Amino acid sequence: MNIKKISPNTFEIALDYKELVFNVWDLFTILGYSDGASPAHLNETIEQVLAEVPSLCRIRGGYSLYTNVEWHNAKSVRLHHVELALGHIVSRQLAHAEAIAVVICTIGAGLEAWVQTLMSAGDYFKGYIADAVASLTVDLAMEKMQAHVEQEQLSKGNKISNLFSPGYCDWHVSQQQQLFALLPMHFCGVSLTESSLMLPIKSISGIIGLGTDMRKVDSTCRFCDKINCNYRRRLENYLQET
Amino acid sequence: MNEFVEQLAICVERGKVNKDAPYPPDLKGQDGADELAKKALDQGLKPDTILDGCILGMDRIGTKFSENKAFVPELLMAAKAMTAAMQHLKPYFQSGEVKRKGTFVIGTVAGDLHDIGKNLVAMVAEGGGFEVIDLGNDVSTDKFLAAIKEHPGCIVGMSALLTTTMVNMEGTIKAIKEQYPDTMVIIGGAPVTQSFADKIGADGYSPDPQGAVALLNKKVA
Repeated sequence: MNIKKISPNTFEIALDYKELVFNVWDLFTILGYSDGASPAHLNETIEQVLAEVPSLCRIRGGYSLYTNVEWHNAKSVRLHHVELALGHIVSRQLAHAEAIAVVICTIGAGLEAWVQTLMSAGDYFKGYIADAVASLTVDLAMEKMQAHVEQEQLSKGNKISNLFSPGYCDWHVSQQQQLFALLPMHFCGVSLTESSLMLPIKSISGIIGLGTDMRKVDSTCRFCDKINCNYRRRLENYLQET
Repeated sequence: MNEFVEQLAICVERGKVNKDAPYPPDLKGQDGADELAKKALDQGLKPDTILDGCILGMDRIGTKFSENKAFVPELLMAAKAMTAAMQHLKPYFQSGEVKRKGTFVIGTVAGDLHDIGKNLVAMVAEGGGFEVIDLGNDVSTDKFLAAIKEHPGCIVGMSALLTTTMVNMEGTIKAIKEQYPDTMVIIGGAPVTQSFADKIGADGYSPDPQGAVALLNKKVA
């Protein structure tokens, strides 16, 4: 992990794919096989895909720290003149945050381009597996970023909350526009479309609460009403395994 | 049931593309959808029977998918096997000897670049006997209108993955209904619901590909 301070409160992080701990069971879950009963040939294709991934990923991430947290009301917070309409669920979790980290992470556009190439050539099967691997890779990369933020905060006697992202936990996805206003332009090579879609697509953004009274739970699924979601499936799978 | 139709349906359902394909392991070394379709035509079977086998196989895997007994990878393998069989039908589609049930124009709405769900619906619809015109993603209202003009009588399908892009369906449906009031429009995608479909004037909604094909079949029945 290579960390660069680009301004007093903003840090950029470069990660090597080798630093990620890839669990094939998580991939099975994304693909739907929560009981692990996947088709025999799936492993072969997964291996082929995983062999290509390191050269196609360029993992970058970073965060900006905001120490002046002004609660506008019970559903929205103001950070440096930008109001984030977080909604009740996220606001409740961050109510005691002394600072907020606005975080972003991407694996770049290389893997996504390969997925499109496979799909265009009619290899939907491999393309779909590659897309699932890309989704999992960016999740794992974001987990690494969060772990880094947590370590930094622990050294200052702080704890962190879970990561909350627009589009989840009743925080509307259009709020990406406000969130991106809190990061440097094209930070880590990620931009936002008018419809609040991040480009490269395999990117994750969100906020993390920091402070002595923050707490991180195993999963935010219990706060969220999204049913058809990979994160919920991964949690259910994990609970089944244990 | 015709023995050939059943054999082909099994190959499609289980994703047995051709003889060389190692998957599924219990059918290793046996003819796949590709060889079966070719042999059927060589033996003088009607090309329609190939389509029947594909429809039956895709219907079975689609139903399993809807019931969470099969997942996207199996659906994609089935679609691959179906395509291998259907390629032998191309000349018969062109000559009109084999007719499809109808034309299905599909696209991901403007502002959205997610296309995997849309691709799945397109594959299952093709396997269900429809000609599929895939407009891709980030499809503007004008592009949908142009496709309807080019394919009179078609059914239109729209997909969106984001709550910020699904709202674009409303304007597109309104424009379609103004110019082509008889055109059926069905919608789908992770954030889409039946109540949203009702609210924006869509003629149908399905949470899965098989349900979408059921809506198409209902229209052409």
